This record gives sequence, structure tokens and C-alpha cells, in this order.
Amino acid sequence: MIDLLAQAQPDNVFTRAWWDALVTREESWQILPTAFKFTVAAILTVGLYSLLYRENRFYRFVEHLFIGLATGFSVVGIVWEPVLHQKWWVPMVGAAGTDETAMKLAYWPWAVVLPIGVLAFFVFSKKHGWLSRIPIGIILGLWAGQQFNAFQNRYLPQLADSARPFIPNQFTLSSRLDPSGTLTVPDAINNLIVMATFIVVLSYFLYSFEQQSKLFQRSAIAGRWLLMVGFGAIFGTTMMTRFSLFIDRAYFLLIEWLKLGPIA
Amino acid sequence: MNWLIAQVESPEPGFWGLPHTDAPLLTQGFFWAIVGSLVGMVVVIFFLARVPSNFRRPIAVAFVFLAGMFYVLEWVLPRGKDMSGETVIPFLFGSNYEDAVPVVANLSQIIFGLLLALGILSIFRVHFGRLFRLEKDWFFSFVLLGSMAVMIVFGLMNWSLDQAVAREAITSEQASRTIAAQGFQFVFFDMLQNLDAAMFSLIAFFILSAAYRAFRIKSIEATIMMATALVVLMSFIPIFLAITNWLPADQFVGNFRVDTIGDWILDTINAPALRAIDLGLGLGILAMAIRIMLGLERGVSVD
Amino acid sequence: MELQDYWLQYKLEWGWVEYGTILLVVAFILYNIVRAGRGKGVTIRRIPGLDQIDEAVGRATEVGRPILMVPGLGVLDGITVQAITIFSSIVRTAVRFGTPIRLLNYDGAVYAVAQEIVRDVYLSEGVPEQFDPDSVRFVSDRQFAFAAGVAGVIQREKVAATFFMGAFYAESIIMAENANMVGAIQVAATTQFIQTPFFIATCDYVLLGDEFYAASAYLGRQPVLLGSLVGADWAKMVFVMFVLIAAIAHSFEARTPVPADERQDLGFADGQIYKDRPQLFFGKMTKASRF
Repeated sequence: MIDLLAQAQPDNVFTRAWWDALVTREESWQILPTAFKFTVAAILTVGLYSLLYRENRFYRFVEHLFIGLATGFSVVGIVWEPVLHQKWWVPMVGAAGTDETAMKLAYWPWAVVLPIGVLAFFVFSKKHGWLSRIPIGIILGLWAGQQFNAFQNRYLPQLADSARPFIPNQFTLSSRLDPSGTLTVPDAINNLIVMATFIVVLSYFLYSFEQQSKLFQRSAIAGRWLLMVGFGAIFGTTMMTRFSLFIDRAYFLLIEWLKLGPIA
Repeated sequence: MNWLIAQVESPEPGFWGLPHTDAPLLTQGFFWAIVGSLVGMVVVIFFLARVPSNFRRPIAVAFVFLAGMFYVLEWVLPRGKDMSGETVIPFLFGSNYEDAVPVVANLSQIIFGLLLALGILSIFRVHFGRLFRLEKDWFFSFVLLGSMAVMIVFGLMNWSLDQAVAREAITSEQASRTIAAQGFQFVFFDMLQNLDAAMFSLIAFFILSAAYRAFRIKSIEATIMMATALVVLMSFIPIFLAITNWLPADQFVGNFRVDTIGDWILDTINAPALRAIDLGLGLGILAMAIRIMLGLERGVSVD
Repeated sequence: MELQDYWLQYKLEWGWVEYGTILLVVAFILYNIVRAGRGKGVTIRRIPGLDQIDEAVGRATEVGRPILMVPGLGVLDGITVQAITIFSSIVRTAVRFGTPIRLLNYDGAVYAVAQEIVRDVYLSEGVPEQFDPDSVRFVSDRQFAFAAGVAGVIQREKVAATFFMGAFYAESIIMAENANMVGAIQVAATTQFIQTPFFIATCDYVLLGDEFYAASAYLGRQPVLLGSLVGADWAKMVFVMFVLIAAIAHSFEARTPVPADERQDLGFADGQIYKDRPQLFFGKMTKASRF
């Protein structure tokens, strides 16, 4: 049992020892009963589900609670702790060495980032609004610069892979047991379909033509239809994963909370 | 004891990295360096705010362009391998350009972090306004602000506990029994994460009603989409697989098994169709990046 | 700095071809921007979903309810900037009709940009006093908290039209179905094509793929945007030609048996005599210059 509060002198309020004492003070009720936690979680879940019927006060309460908690967590757990504290404050001020840890140098130039970020607040000023374009421009510029490399890495291998060989090197039907590199007649046909799909769909995404020619119009319509096949496939695969999420929640509500069955 | 001394050996201070010692803050060099750079930036901003309006656009575009050139240079500069086999980009005065990449990545993350404050400001504007004027739904604004405050307080307390554990002031077992840790556990794991999971699982209901609506649309495109969705969905569900499972997989009729058809659609139609749409999006992004870097995008550069 | 291997990038086989390809695309885009700027008749085809925007805003005016815009779940990048550029022309229509707007954001930086651009639209339409800063809001930067908040706004304010444009993920269907529950007209466009099918099932009009990028050119008809769209078109056509030519080359390459003494170097499996797909010329080429 530690009692840092006793060590903390009343006159050094807000010191590290005082703060440690405040947060580390132990209480007897410390462990909330699981049943209570589960009930709170279940009530919140039901509150969100009530949206399916219609928007109501219960949902509105849970929604605002949700946004409040989420934003609070973003402030501490996403922005302050991993980014501003670890990547900005600690490198900027460094730390004094102790008997066991080495001193950390204070890289003071990080300080200039703060005024740059603060410039964004000029967005509300009519007169100096343009100053907010500087931090925003830096973010957008860095994003833009990365896109060239990203395009090379992502799309050129895809294009190379789309150029499929379409003349069979073995005139048979089945290829399941053949060594890799074998291109049977069905493989060749599939490769042709792959290329045709790619080109036909791409033809739908040409904008600078009025699509006067019949061939081009038909190709664009076929492109849309093939796209719909592709989208249908996504719809089917995604549906499966979404249902497994719902089953997980239903398990929580019915088995873990209401105890309507044995816990697997 | 030599190893102990080696372990606590302090790094060599330089111009950019000043030592941090136990001396009072006001006597330390780094503190005044930070204060000095803040004051310097305020002066710079003061003069920037007074720049004649016809120089504003070039200044803003220059920032965008220079920021963009950083990663463009990283992309085009020739690389080599140093003696330890690491990939390096030799740059001016024997420096390694690659060393600057994490610094710049951190820079943009920090600016992003600072800009979240703008969002919080928006939340305060909307909800404190509603609360003070006691408008309709003021109670819910109170709930929002209250839960945000609770999360921030527990989050900070829990964070400082983590720091105490890292300093070995207390053990992690002791830390986990405190009010701060228990409270954070409750608001984060028991409340926030359950809310996330509940909202995510709501999608199952909405996907069903969306599918029902799409099936009712009398258009060729919607029919094609939902028919494919059905086939692919069937290829994942054991009951439907069982219907065609008796067809031998290694013969010609094996092509008509539900799972084979599903796989064929995914590999032969879905993949290239999505590749084509993705290529278009990639070109759109590339064009956007060029326009942003050159300051041609009207929405972003100064008018 | 001592190096054991310098100019590695250009020593790699064919690495320069990839740089050349991207330079070519950039040149296409810049050339067409210049060409469109000179007033050379650059036209683009009709994009059906975009013709419906005025109608949707008009209907919102009739029923006296707001229109809702969401620039997606992206942080501040080109995608959200594009979304906000599209929104600025929607807001312009709304201002002319006198329709109230809601623009809900996921990111603080995007919120700042949206705030400024929307205010500029009101200013340029000569009604700055009608702009309510709280109509452009930050909701939350946590995915499902954002979805819950947007669903709440949709249901409480009974929005008459929704415009979802930008990068959307799993939450897309929650927002779009809620808008359906209140009978809103919906126009959607997303760069995350995995979500496009859900928008197709729930929305009245969906912009597919890079119609999203074409939208601002279509709505604004600015030479810069039209030009870069045409430049991207040229690149697409070159890529199609490339695929056709490379496919023929690959076809012959895949038919040529590899001599027995070279198979080991190429990493062939037992009994393999022909090159497999990733071992063909362009597949190897694009792989070789990766780090």
C-alpha cells in the first residue's frame, strides 16, 4: 500500500507528487461489479438500437453521451498522449537525467510548430483569414507530394498485372494439377475476360468524348453493367462480415448480459 | 560498474539540441531558446499579417509547393546503400535525406493534432451556446459536454498513472486498483467501446433494408448488382454450398459449384472492374495533387 | 557518407520507365490545363447524378427543410478538398433558393476549410448576414460517434436532401439509410469504391469512381479542372494501349519455354517450364524497382 498523499506537502499543490497522490489514492469500492458494467453497456446498446424504430429521447441521450466520450478520448488518447506529448512536447523540452536514465536533449526548434498551428485559428477572422491557409497549405502540400510515389507503387504493378497472356501454351481444359506457368484454354479465356472487363469499364470513365459513336456508347453501358457485377460481389462479401458483428452484439445482450444460455 | 555508466551517458548537446538539467527552469538555455523562438514566430506572424494583399497568394502557394516538394524529392532523388546495407538518400553536405522523413511526418501529425482544437472549438460553440441560452435540447448538450469532461479527466489521470508506472513510482498492479484506472476502464472500455460495437452492428439491420430496397428497384443495373450479390453471398453460406457440393471439383461440372462460381466472379469480373475504377481514382488524385501543389485549386489557394 | 551501392535506383532494371510513365501523365495533365486555359473547346460528357443537384435543393426549399452535406471521413487531403469544392457549388444553389444548410465534419482541419469556403460563398452571393457559422459543424473524429451524430441530425432536422461526397467507410450505410427513413433525396459519391454498392442501394443518384473528381469540372466549367480531366483521359487511353500491347508481348513470352539452365535463377517450381504471370516482363519490371 502506497500513500503518496501523505508525503505530499500541502504547500506544493500541483506538483508531480501531489498529482501522483491524487490519482493513485486507493478506495474500497474500486472494482465495479461486472454485472453493473454489463448492464450499463447493454442499456447503451439498446439506446442506440432504438434508432431503428425512430429518433427518440433515449437515443438522443446516448448519442450525445457517445459523442462526448469519443471527443474526450480523442483529445487525450489520440491527440495529446501519442502525438502532442510524445512527438512534440517531450522532444522539445527533453528531460533531465537521473541515476538510471540518460538526459534527453531539448530540441527547442519544435517550438515554432505551435504558432504555425495557431495560425489556423485566423480562419474566423475576416481580415487575416488568409493566414489560416499556411498550416492548411503545409498539410495539403505534404499530402500532394506523397501522391507521386503512391501512384507509382499502387497502380503501375496493377497495370502490369492487367496485361495478361491470352494465348494458351497447353491446349487442354483443366489446369488444377499442372505446374505454375501453364496456360490452358480456360485460363486464356479468363485472362481475356479480365482484360476486356478492365478496358470496357475504363471506357465508361472517359469524359472528354460526347460518346457519339455507337461502339463507344455500347462499351460504356457494358462497362457500367460489369461494374455492377463487381459491386454486387462486394455487397455479398460485406454482408457476411456485417452479420457476424451483429451476432457478436446479440451474443453480448442475450448470453453475457441476460444469461439466456451457456457462455461458449 | 562500467556498463552502468555507459547506460546513463548523456547525449552530446549541440545547437539544435540543448541540455536539460536539474537547474531551475529560468536558468536553462533550452527554456529561453523555446521562448525566443515563440517570440520570433509571433514577430514573423505580425509582419505576415501586414503583407500587402497581392503578395498573400504567392506566399500561401509557396508554402504548399515547398511542402509538396519535400516528398517529391524523396521520390526522385537517387538512392544508395550504405555500408550497413541501409537504403540512404545522399543529400547536401553529406547528409541523408531519409533522416528528415520522420521529422516531417511528425510535423504534419503535430499540426493535425493542433487543428483538432478547431473542431473542439466548434463543439463548444454549438453546445455551450445551446446550454447558456437554454434552447431546446439543452440537456443533451449538457450530457455531451459533461461526458467529454469526464473522459478528459479520467484520460489524463490514467495517462499520468502510466507515467508513474513508467518512472517505477508505483507498480502497474497498484495502478490498476486506483480510482483513475478503474474510472478510465469504465468510461473507455465499458462505455465507449461498447457504443462503438453497438453502432457498428446496427449496420446489419440497415444492410438488410438497403438490400430489400435494391431488390425492388426495377432497373437492369440494380438487378445485375443484387443478383451477383446473392450468388456471392450463397458461396459463403454452408447451406447453399451443400446443394452443389456433390459435383466433383476436378471435373468439368465442378465449374457449376456455387463456391467456384463465386470465386470466378470475384477473380475475373470483380477484380479487373475495381482495378479500372481504382485507376481512374488514382489519376484523379494525381491531378488533384498537381493542382494543389501549383496553387491551381481555387478552393484552397488564396483568391 | 560511405556507400557500397550508389545510384541504386537507376541501376535497377527499367526503374526509369516508371518515372517516365508518371512524368508522361503529369505532362498530359499540365498540357491540357494550358490548352483549356487558351480556350480550346474542351468538352466533357454528361454526368447524370450532377444534374439532379438543383432539383434536390429545389425540393428542399419547397418543403422548407435543410440540406445536409458530409465531406466523408477523410482527414484534410485532396479528397476532402474536392468534396468541399463540390459543396461550394451546392451551397451557392442553396443560397440562391434560401435553403438552410448543414455541413458536418469529421476532422478539425476540414472543418476550418469548410467554414471558410462556405462563408466565402455567402459573401460572394451578397448575403453574408445569412451565414450561420454553426451550420458548418465538427461532430466527432471517432467513426461511429460521427455516424451516430449525423444520424441524429438527419432524423431530428428531417433533412430534405443529403450529399455524401468523399471517403466513406462502414458508416456510409447508417447515414444513408437514416436519410431514407426521413425521405431525403440523396446524391452520393465516394472514393472508397468498397462503399459504392451500399450507396447505390440506398441513394437516388451515385457518382461512380472518378466521376467524383469530374464533378467540380462539370459544375464549375473552369478551364483548369476541365483540362486536368482531359489530361487524365489521355492517360487512361495510353494505359489501355499499354495493356493491349503488353498483353500481346506477354502472350508470346508465356508461350516460350525457358531453357532448363535458366529456370533455377528465375525461381521456377518443380516441373515448371513456362513463366508464371508475375515472372513475365512487365510484372517483374514493376516489382524490381520497389524498395
